[in-house]
Order: sequence, then structure tokens, then C-alpha cells
Amino acid sequence: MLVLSRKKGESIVIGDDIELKVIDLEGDTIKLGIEAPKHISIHRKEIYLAIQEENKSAMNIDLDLSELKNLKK
Amino acid sequence: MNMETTRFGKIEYNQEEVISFNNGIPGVHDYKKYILLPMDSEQETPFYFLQSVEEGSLSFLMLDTLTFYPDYQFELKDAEIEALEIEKPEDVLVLTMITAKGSLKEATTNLKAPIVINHKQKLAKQIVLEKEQYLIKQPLFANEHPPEEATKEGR
Repeated sequence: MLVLSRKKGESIVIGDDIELKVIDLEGDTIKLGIEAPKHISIHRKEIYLAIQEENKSAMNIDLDLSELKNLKK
Repeated sequence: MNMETTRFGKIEYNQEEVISFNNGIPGVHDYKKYILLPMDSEQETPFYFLQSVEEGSLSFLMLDTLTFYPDYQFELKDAEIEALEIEKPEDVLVLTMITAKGSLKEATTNLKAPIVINHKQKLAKQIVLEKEQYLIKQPLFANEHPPEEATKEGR
């Protein structure tokens, strides 16, 4: 992992199209601004990992489907 | 086209039915092509299977979310609308994945990350809702509280 130090207002450029800027620093919280092409999704890591995990749990559900068939709209 | 699936055995489908997840699905990135199979042919239940056409053993049970949660709503970002080439709201189908280990009573659905499908263009994406306070594990049956109440209580 590349580790760089930045002060408030300074930026990091990734590739040609991605920029991370330190917008604000308050206590132990940093506010980051991100510019990236629209097709690239950006998420807080813990949320993204939680979604990945949930998707993996949802795969190939092992359930008695006759129970579902009895539930009409 | 034909394929062998774990859940349904041999199935037939048309190439035009295939829905493309251009970014894949988080956790199963390698697979991008799926078809949507209603649970029953008369469409009386709000359930579908999202079956991979690249991997016969891969499928997800999906809920037609608005049938269970009529007030479920969220905003799509411009980038998401563009990526899915959405022109009209009628082109959009929102489904959420169901997780259940064992009995249906404990089943939950992921309202935090709906699958948004542009039915016209056959494009789809899992959208992670950053703003809206929905649950990743929303119980389907146990709970009397609809999602909006969870939001009001700040959960």
C-alpha cells in the first residue's frame, strides 16, 4: 500500500481520472472529496464489504420453496 | 439457448432475455449475465430467481420489493441513471435479494442494496444506498415495523 501524507486542501491523483482531496479535518474525522469517472463506484469500505458478504450469503438459497409458492401477492 | 442449472435442471432461454450487470455483482464480480425467472408462471407470487447464464450453480432469490414494501423509495444518482441508460421510470424494476438460512420465517431482504434493472435495455446494477437508512437484513415476516419507522427512530 502506498502511504502519503496530505494536509487540508491537498490532493492525491490516481491514474489519469481519479482525484482524492482532503476537504476538512475535524478531530479524528477527515472529510474526503473524490472525483472519478461515473462508471467507477465509490463506497465507504465497511458498507461495501457488508454488501459483498450479504450477497454471498444470499447466493444459492437453501430453502423449501413450496413455502414461498403459498404466499400470493 | 440451453443451459444446465443446479436449481432448475436444464432450461431454455432467449439471448434477448439476458440481463447484463456490466460491473458484476459485489462478491460475484466475474459473473455478469443473468436471466430473471419468475417463481411461478402466473406471477401470483412476488418472487423471482436471478439465474446466472455463465455459472449453472449460481442463482439468487429475489423479491419484487414494492409488493412487500409499497413505500420503499430511493434516489438514483445521475451516474447510475446514465450507466443503466434509464429513460423512463416504467423501464425500471427494483428487486432485492433474499437471504434465508433454513426456514422462510427467518428470511431477510437487503433493502440497503437493491438490484435495479432497466428492463428495456436489459441492464442492471446493484445500487448501494448511502443516504437512505434501510437495513441490509430487513426481516420479511417477523417484524411489524415497516422500513420507514426504522428511519424515523434513527436506526
